[in-house]
Amino acid sequence: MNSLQIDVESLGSFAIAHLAGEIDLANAPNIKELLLRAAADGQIAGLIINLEKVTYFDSAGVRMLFTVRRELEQRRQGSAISVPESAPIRSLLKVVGVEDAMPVGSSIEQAYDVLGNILGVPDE
Amino acid sequence: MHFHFFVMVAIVAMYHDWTPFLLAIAYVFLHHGTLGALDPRSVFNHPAAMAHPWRWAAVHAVFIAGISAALLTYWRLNETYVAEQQRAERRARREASIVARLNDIGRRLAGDLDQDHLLQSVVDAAVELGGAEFGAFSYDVTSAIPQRFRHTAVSGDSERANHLPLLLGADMASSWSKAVRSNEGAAAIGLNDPAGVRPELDPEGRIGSYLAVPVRSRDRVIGGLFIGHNETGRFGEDEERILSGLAVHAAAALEVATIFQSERRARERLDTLSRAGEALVSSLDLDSMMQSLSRLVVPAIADSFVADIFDEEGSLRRVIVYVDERIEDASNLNFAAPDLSDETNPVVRSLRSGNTEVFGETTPELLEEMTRSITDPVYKAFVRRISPTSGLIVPLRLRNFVVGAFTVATLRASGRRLGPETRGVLEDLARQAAAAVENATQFAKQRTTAELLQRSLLPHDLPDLPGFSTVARYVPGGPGVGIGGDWYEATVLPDGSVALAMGDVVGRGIEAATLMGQLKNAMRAYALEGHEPGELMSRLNSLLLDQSRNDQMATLVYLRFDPSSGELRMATAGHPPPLLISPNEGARFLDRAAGTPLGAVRGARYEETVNLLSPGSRIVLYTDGLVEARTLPLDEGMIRIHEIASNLGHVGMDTLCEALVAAAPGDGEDDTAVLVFWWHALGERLRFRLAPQPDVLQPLRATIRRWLNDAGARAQEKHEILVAMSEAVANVIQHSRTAAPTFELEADRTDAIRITVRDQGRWLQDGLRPGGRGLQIMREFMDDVDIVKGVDGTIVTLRRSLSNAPIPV
Repeated sequence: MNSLQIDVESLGSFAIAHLAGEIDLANAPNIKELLLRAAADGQIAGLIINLEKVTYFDSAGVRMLFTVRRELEQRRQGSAISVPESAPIRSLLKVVGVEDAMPVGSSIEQAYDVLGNILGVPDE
Repeated sequence: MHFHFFVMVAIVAMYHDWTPFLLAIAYVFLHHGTLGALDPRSVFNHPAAMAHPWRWAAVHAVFIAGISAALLTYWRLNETYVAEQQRAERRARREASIVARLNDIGRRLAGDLDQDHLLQSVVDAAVELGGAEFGAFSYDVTSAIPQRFRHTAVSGDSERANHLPLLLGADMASSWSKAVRSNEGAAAIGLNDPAGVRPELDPEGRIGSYLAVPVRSRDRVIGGLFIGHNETGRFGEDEERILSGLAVHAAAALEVATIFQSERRARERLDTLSRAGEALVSSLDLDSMMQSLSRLVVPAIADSFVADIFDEEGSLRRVIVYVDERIEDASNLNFAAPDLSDETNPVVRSLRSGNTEVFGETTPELLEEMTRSITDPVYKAFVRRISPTSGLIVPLRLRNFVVGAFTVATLRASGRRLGPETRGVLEDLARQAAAAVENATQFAKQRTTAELLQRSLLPHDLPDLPGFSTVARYVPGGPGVGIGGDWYEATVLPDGSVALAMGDVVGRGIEAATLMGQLKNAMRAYALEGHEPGELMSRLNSLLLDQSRNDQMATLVYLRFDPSSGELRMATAGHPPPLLISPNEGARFLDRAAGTPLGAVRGARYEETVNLLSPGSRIVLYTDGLVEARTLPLDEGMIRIHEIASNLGHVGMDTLCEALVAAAPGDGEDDTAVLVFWWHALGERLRFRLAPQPDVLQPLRATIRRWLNDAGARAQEKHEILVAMSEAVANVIQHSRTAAPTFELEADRTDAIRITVRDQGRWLQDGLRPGGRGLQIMREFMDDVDIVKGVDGTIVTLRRSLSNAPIPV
């Protein structure tokens, strides 16, 4: 399945992974690998996962996010999610408690600030 | 005046008896007589009375006697009336309680789908309500062949209970016609039924009273309900009524249970047949293959099974004649295949036409046609005796030739007819068997590697999703021509659009077949990546130029259809143009977009044409074998198929496809492939049968998303419903045992949105555990989540009302 695109860019000491498409049981394991790889560089303090362009997201995606967060934590890296308040997938993140478990911003900038505050990285 | 007279009558009236009356009469007589004699004036004031006091005393006494008699008569009559009323009331109460009990039993029976349990409940109730010691319920289990399939449930003393049904005689259908009652022992019953008199069945006279009622379903006797008692004189009309009432309830419940069981059997039957078909392919021994096939068909769907197969020399051989052993023993028959020159024989007709022959009740003419060429008298008599009541002759077709035929029939003895599903099942079976027969008769040995390769590359299963249907045929060129490179593909892309392709590799043999495989795989990969037709074509062109060694070329038409918009994008590389059949405008060729064959010119550009389809449209893809031959110029061939598409554009997909293939020049020069795609609008109710694999999720969501759009769902609602549905499906994928090859999903929006996921396997322990995330999400996003775990699998039903459910106009 090639229905999902992933682009990675860096912003300061953070990596930003832009996901676009649908995330489900079929591709979640691959996406997890790609996300972990995006933050593989030890210099990277944290990973911002941008879900703005994700059109479908369910518990397979939630499980994947939790795994990524845990694995990054073990590597002493932070993680945050960026997803607009109006996105349909936002309700799911609320229901399953993703918003309580990891920082979620409504924009990349917000996610960046929140994650920066948590990790104590100074604003640039 | 006569005050004392009335007092007397009133007092006497308090007793409803002769004694006070007699006393009163005596008293009046003595009193009036004695006093009248001593002092007539104190009693009488009439001169005549005073003159004869004793005579007048007697007259008074007679008065009293008369009044007494009148009163007594009235009281007696009244008493009888009251007593009768009380009896009637008691009777009504008793009957009401019986009716209530019967209804209660009826209700319980109606919900009971297990036949054995049901029979037992009925007979237990009969014994209890009928005040019997023992009872039996004899039931014609198969509703097919009387006398031999009786199933009996007993209650109480089983030895005596088992005797009961025998007393009515063996032939249920003819002798179990009305209720039979005897209160003088079993030996005395059956007198009104000469066929059933069997006093020796109860020689010791242990059955004192006996009651039997037939159980009828739609005017047919399907069984009998019996109760007995060791004392005589136990059963009357009441008991007969109770038993008759029970019989009515039992018949209704049995009918439901039978329908339920036969439906379940039909499902299992289909599963068995499809599995059997696969198993057949591995067998190489024709006889044992047909043996096992016959046991699958008989008695499950028919009473007899006959297979006629051509052997290597081309002569027809009757491989097997198998009849349900409970009806006739066909094992020692000296049977033979029909004479191929006998064109009236229905099997020969079917073999020649390649069409399924259907016959109903055997007429003398049909029987004559069937048996004319039979030489063995025993076999001839056999066929006449079993007298089929309905039958099907299904040819075994392999591409464009027939390798044999199956004949199945129901026989008079069973009293049943072939079910409506039988034809489809048998034709499926015949399709699979044809391939197996081919292997068995060693056609396979002559098969070249190239053809095997090519066949392996044609899709076995075209996509089957609600909203689309696809039918395809491939007819190879005649013998000696070698293998062509026709191929096709139809697949649902992750975004829910459909990719259709039809290609033809120039050249023949292994090289062509290999290239075909490469092209096809590359096309699939590019299509899945989402490349539009023009871009896809350019890439394939480069690939072909880079990889092929001998300047190989291929033609291809590739279409991508997006059902959410109705947009059809197409690019052509030297391939004849597809036909579009729209519901309103009829058939037309889609404008040919200029395109050079793949592998001809480096850097060639392929233009895309875009058409908007309306729901109900069909697209016909084909290769040049269908429209072109030495004897048929291309444009004439195209006119020919255009005509067929115009005339038959909206008949069944198979019929259309067959008609097109039949129109091929057919001189065996070239192979021919035809694919028809039909886009029909999504209905209110969708049904999917899917493999439990993660990659079904995305196309499924695409279809449901479109369907929710049509229902007017908002973005947020759509997402939440899709997530809830995916959770249910993901659960099946992750937790069902692999034993179940498919699961079912039904989506219904006639009222609210209702999605049902039915899984035939058994879930592992952790499937949808309470408190699990999947369940939590489903509960959060849907109004109702209902999970039923049964023996046969699990059913999850999700329901949600849309906020903007359409307002009735």
